[in-house]
Amino acid sequence: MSRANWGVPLALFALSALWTWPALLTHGMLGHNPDAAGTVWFVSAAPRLLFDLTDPLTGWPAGATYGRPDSFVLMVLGALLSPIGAARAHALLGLFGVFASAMGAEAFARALGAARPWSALAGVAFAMSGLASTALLEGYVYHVINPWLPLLGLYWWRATRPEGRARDGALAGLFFLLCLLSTAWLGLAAAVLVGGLFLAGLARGGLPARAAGAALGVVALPLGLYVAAFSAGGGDGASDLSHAGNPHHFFSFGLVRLASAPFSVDITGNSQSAVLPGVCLALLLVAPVVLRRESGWRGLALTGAGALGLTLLPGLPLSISADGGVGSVLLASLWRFPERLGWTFLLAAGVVGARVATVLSARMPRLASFLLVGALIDAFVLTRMPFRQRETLATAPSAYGAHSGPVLDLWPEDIEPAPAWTLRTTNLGCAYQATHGRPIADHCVATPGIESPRVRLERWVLGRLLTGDIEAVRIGLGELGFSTLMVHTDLFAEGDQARLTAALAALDPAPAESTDGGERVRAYAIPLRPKADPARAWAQWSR
Amino acid sequence: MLLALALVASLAAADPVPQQQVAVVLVDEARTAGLSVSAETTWLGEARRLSLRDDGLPPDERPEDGVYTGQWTGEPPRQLALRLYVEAPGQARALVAASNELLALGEDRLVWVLDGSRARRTAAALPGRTMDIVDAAGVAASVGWMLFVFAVLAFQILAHRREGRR
Repeated sequence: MSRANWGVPLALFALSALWTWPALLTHGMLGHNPDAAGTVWFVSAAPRLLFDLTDPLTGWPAGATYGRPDSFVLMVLGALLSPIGAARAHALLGLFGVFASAMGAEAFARALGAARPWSALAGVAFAMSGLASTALLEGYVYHVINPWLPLLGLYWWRATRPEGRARDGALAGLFFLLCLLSTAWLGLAAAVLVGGLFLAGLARGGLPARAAGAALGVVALPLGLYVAAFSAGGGDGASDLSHAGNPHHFFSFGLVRLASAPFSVDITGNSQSAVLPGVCLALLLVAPVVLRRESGWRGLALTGAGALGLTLLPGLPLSISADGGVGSVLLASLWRFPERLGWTFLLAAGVVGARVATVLSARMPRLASFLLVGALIDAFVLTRMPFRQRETLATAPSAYGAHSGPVLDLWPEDIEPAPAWTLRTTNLGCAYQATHGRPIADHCVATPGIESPRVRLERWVLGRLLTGDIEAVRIGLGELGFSTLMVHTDLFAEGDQARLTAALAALDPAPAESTDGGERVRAYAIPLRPKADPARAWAQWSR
Repeated sequence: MLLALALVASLAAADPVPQQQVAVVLVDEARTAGLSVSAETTWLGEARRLSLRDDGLPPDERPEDGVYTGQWTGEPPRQLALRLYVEAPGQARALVAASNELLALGEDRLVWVLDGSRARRTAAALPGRTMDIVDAAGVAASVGWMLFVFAVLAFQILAHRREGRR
């Protein structure tokens, strides 16, 4: 490969490493919100979830079935990267995901007629965007492992042109499925892209039947299976999404979220920002003037504009209907986070923008150079990445290693009730499991309307301990098969700490204790009950 | 090859266990004379109390500017259950904030602004209105940037077309 051909990939890799810093060298867990810990657990559990979505190591004693996992693609990648550790894999997937997404968008831009280095504008606008920063800060790393949407765009754009081949349609179908299997949100964004280019193709006088048929042939069966599995798995079908342990925010989308992330957004706003890339937005707006006589870009530009329009839909808290149907879930999702459809806009603006920049570079080279610098300002100044990224400890307290067998984590209720507290303790307990590997009571993927068994048991245990009924705890937890009660003492109020410590001395007078892994914990051994039948005991509990 | 090199660099990176520094800051816009500010937590099993000062000595930056600062250091905790108290002259010590704070590894700065009898978390040690203005200014600057880029592009393209016609 010549130096010219290496230049753009190298530059995009360097920019990706910088933008996702410290992902390349970190030993910690990256992410500003508790969901990062949940994703780290998901990566750690990937090898065992890959072939069976029922996990015996979580939701103890019944186990947990994750019928609607966040990402099938992350499951495969997590399984492949399992030897390097979950937190490290999570961080590196962020870096390589951003790089792969940038390369995918850059390839689409070149297919549409952009030349290097201007094609890099598409990669930067798409992969180093406000939406990508939100995904990384919230911990949803699988949203940024997204070369699929650009590659879907590339092949579907080709398939919908008069010279479209069956191979283009089939590849478009494959990349559509990869979007959907990365996360349902990307599936929605991909559907908008497919629909927009499809309509553009019809407007031009129809689609090549062979290409459309090939795409349909690839997509139909897996999509049908996906919808069937999605409908059957997870959720009790009667609960509002906002009762899933998330803050009860109305995530209505305001225009202000299209501007740079305010400084307070990481304290009060869940790090959510969908800042638009100024350079590619401007290039898209001038495209009708600059690309007047050129073909092939209008359908994509209009699709991008349509996607931007959809992101401006006002958000409303909707309930999942009683039957928990796929349509209602999709609607509820779309209305809660409409900005995630913005991926399609970012792709269209980046790709069309790169083509405009290529044309401008021949006539006005200085202006085109300004655009490259401007794109970096969009990526690094408007999103304020990587300065907003946060690294936390990735290790687990060593006291988890004191015993073997199932462990029940005991956290306090929040001293100032925060809606996301249960989510935080659940995700942290799950992330610890990535290190200690023992069965835990938590459900590690939040399912609307279903309370984690750990939370139910925790309330029961705390109630018994604070009233001094230690025998009930010993028998109850023993019957459920738990061998350890892990008390996260630092977070309890001092008075409660003293009462708990006094009560638990009757359970285990010499608990194992550790202060590494970021907190002091005490592991109280629960005597084994030889005739215990945890599954039956839990069935009685659940009545 | 590029990916393999990055992977090797990542795996070879050292794993330092840093000392944790946590600065606790309370902004009192009213600059109440004689205010006493303190914070309490349990740090890896150890009960800790911290007096926040506004005397210009480190870690405080400027004396008597209404920004009270204190700092804890030690082995890194993951999160702190933190309670913040103020005591004004002639009044009882009052709890103004209590929260569980997840900490950034290495250094973190936790800032509250006193708002009546409560304190609320904020991103920087600025009075509430100033923080709102800073946030709004950032948003306005980004919108301004987008308009500037569009204006430059539109102007240059129009100028070029005009030259072309001549």
